[in-house]
Amino acid sequence: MKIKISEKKDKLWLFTWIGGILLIWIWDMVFLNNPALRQIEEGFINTFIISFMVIIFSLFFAWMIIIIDTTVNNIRFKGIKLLLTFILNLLRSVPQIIGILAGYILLTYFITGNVINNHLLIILFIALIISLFVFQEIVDLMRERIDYFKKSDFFNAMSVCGISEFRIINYDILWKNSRIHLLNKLISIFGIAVFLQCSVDFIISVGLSTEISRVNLPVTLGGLLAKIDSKQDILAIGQIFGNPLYIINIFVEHLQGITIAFLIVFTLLSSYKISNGYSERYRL
Amino acid sequence: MVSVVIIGIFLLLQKQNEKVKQKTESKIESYLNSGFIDINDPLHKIIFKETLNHFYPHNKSQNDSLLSALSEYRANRLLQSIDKARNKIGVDRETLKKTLFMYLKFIAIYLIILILSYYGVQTIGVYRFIKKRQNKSSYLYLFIEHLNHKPENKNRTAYFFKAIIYLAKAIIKGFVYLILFSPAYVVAYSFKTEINTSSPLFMILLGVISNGMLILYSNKFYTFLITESRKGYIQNAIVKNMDNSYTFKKSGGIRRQSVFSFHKKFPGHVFQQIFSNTRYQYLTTFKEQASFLISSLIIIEMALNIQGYLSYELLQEALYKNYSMAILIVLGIFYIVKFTDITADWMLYRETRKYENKNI
Repeated sequence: MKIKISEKKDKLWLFTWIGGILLIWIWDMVFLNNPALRQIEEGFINTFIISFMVIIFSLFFAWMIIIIDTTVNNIRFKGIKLLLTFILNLLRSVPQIIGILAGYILLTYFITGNVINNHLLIILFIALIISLFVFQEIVDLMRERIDYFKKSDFFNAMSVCGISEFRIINYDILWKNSRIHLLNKLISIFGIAVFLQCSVDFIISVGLSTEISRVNLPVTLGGLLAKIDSKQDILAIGQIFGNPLYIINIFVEHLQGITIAFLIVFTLLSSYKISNGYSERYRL
Repeated sequence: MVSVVIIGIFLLLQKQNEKVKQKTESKIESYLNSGFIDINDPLHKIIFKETLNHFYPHNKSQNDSLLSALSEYRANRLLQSIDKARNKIGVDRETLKKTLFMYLKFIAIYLIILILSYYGVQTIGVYRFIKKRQNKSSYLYLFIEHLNHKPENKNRTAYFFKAIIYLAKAIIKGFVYLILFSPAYVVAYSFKTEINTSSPLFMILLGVISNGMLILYSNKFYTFLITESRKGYIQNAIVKNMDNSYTFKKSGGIRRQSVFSFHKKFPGHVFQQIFSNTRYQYLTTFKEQASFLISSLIIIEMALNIQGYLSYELLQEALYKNYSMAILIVLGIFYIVKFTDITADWMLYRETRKYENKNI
């Protein structure tokens, strides 16, 4: 039984995550007021959509970089290669959180200037900003896989057979031999996206509240957590240390903040466990 | 090159700040000094708004912006008398001095967390690896297993006591996991009523344990250990009878002290080779960890909203649209990232030369 569980840890944790969220949703339906529950639902869905879009954009950007890499190497255009390296290094040198914050400032300008006013476009823009600062992890992995296979005989053998480098890299290396590695990386990117998004939303709701309140940003878990009633709920946890029996009240009276915090932490923990289980199953 | 770009933006913003400030203020002051508008009077305010909308019917949003700019200007003037320093646009010597102090404090906290996490990552990774080799199962699994093997009538108390111990350990472990994965602001607000969360000591503690950094990188270290232990040369050493016992004991096996010491050494044990080679691989990810730590530290300082810290100042400068100061802080942080990169590369280079049997 133990072997079977350890072999399918990723699936087990995926079901645990879904089950945990369903359980807390049912609990909230019973004990939490309706408007707060609707907000949490909206915040969770928006957070999930943004994080999922981050995965899509990051994968796309990383793949584009690899295509440019291959093309530039073939035509030996040093200027483009230098420019690309410079842009990537610049993005890597700026801490993710600062880059994303700068992106949010840009977004508020776009919203106030009426350049972006559609809810879906705002969500896509947020995903785009976050993916700009996380996609390099996928680029690194893709480059690592390509370098690994380039050292082996199979790359030279295929080249000699007249198969184009573009096909070898994209189909034979990335698609046929690195799919599992990439999927594992994408799971962890999902966790990183949730973390960064919640953190930035929390920061701007706490620190830039007067500026942002003029702008209508989508409701997310981070933003909801920064609300005064949610923060008070989290502060109430401290009371348990003085009065352990207060824990019962936490799950009934302070449900809004506790639910949001739990959703964030549980999603981060689950994505870590799923990614770990997945790499254990495929021995990555 | 990046420095040149950032300094260029800084100088441009500094120049533009002055121009924009002069232009906006002269426009707003012309309205405020007109004599017939008293912006403090709500009636005057409404009449002024309607007049603007009448003369500029297609620019309603701009009219609203002008009104809010007037109110903001008034509020700013009031704030200026309360807090002159806050409303300074651009960079002057006094602000620079204050920011430099915060920058040094940021570096000090960053270095302490970096050293502690460097130790923590390796210690947790090694401890998990040894526990795995000792075939220790998770407490939850032990609890379930224990429940499945009910004893006869004898020893019932001991049986229940043991079950409770397993369950308590499983709950504590789960709680620790939740803390390790919690974003810093969740942990900080949970303890805010009990602990002074604005002290540098708490900041260091948060930096080490929260935001998932410790658990993520210790897991990476653990994975490297597992991969290394499967390699042929290790199997060969085990076959040749090198010490391979992972029980905690003073002679033979693993010394508990060695696991928790800063310079971990396991002389005569096969684990020494596994550990040395893993540490070399870990150095390649150290840059990544340091970069994540900087992001994490910025999140902590910004989210906790504590005055006197660099990232809080950065947020405030962005809030008050003093972008030239904000860009200067970003440049400072960029230098920390680059300095860490260079140090990590140097450490890796040193280690590589050792492996290649070259003199350093």
